Amino acid sequence: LSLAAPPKEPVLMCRSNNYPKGFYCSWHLPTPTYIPNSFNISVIHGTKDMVCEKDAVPKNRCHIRYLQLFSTVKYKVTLTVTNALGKNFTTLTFDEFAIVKPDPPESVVAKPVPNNPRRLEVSWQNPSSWPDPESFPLKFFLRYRPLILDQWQHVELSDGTSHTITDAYAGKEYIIQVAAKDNDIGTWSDWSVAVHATPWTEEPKHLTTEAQITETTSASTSSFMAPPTTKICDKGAVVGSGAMAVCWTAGLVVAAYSVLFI
Amino acid sequence: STGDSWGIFTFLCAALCNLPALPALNCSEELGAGQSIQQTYDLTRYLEHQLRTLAGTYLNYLGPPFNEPDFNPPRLARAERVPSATVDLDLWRGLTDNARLAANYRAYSRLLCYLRVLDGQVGTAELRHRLAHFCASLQGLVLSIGGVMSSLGYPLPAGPAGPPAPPGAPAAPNDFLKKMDDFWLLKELQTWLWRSAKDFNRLKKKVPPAVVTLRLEARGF
Repeated sequence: LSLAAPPKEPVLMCRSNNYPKGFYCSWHLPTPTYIPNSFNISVIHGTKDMVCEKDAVPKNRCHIRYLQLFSTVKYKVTLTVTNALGKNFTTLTFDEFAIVKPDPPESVVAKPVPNNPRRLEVSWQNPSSWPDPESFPLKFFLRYRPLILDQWQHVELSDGTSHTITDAYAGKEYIIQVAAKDNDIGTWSDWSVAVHATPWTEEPKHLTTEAQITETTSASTSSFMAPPTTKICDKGAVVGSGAMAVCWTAGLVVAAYSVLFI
Repeated sequence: STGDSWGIFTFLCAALCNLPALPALNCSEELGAGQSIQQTYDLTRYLEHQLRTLAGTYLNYLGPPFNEPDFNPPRLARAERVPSATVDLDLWRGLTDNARLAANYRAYSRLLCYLRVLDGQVGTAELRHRLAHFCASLQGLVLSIGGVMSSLGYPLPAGPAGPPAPPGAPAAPNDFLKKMDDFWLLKELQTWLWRSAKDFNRLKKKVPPAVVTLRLEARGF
């Protein structure tokens, strides 16, 4: 049996992920009261009262449009929570610039670079909630590490939505994330969804037809028996006659080695 | 000696406050406009960084409540002398390049004058040193903005908007209000530097095509 309780001091957070359009505030109670609560939010800017429009979804969230930009006067947000047994409140005071925090970058993609065993090409997009990247450009922070290590490498990028990693360990699977920040104000976004990628490897993982024939006719237990996937000789991964030449060459090399081991 | 330096600074302030429009530089200067805008942008970022240290030191010198992070006083009428960066969003977006640059030029010219007044009055040597360094950098910014305007063929604003305030007048009636004036001066300076970063971002994107157009016109196309 849970006892109904008056509300504890609520937790309030305000953030501008769509600068310069406005900001939103969201709140919750640290512990349940087990009876219905009502929330009232007030926003004061200097001498002006502003209306924070409640969002339908999610609940416990409201948003405000900026009427003026580059304000020297702070915003003061007060959240009051009331139920049958009592009330409580909390206040946040902040400058327009202090609460700017974009959403993480979207559509992060990492791909190996053909014929480059130490490179990975990463690209991403501005968060769709950021309304005006032309006038309010974002800068980005990329972090990456091989799965087998704990230490992250970091790169800060002030321009563009792509980057080529050039110091990846050959053949190791990498985990990569990107964060965004307004170029001049506010704080870094949370990290994006992580993507995984492994740099291109030279060793063919699938044997070509020639090599397979050589394999079956030789007595050797070849160390060239293929692990499942390949990066160069897969039909899908390879385009153009140049790459096919690589496939055949690799096949011939494998065949040659197999012969040596008879 | 420091006395001579202050004399020179005061003279420079007076000169800047009454600067006539510089003659427009010839068309070959337009090539550098894009780069000058980048340099001006970089200067605003540098100044913003410098101001953080200066403001911290200065507000501690003023003492409580001015150095409290939550200090949020109402804006008194007398504080309106300091040019405000605050602007309606659509208005800001719609500013022409000329108006955008001119607003920055006027604001920093005025703010520089007020800072010089402050410079003459502060107590500690450390503060005087920091203020002097900051004023020199701020003067560099004003000149840099002026350079961009001239290279784009815009006339420099005749002087700070409104009648130039003679140093120290109208004086605050008491010590607390004087400190309030100082507080708002630093606040407006900080806000202007944040705004300028955005102003120059916008200019960076827009200027190159205009430069090409101007050059073609100059050649009689």
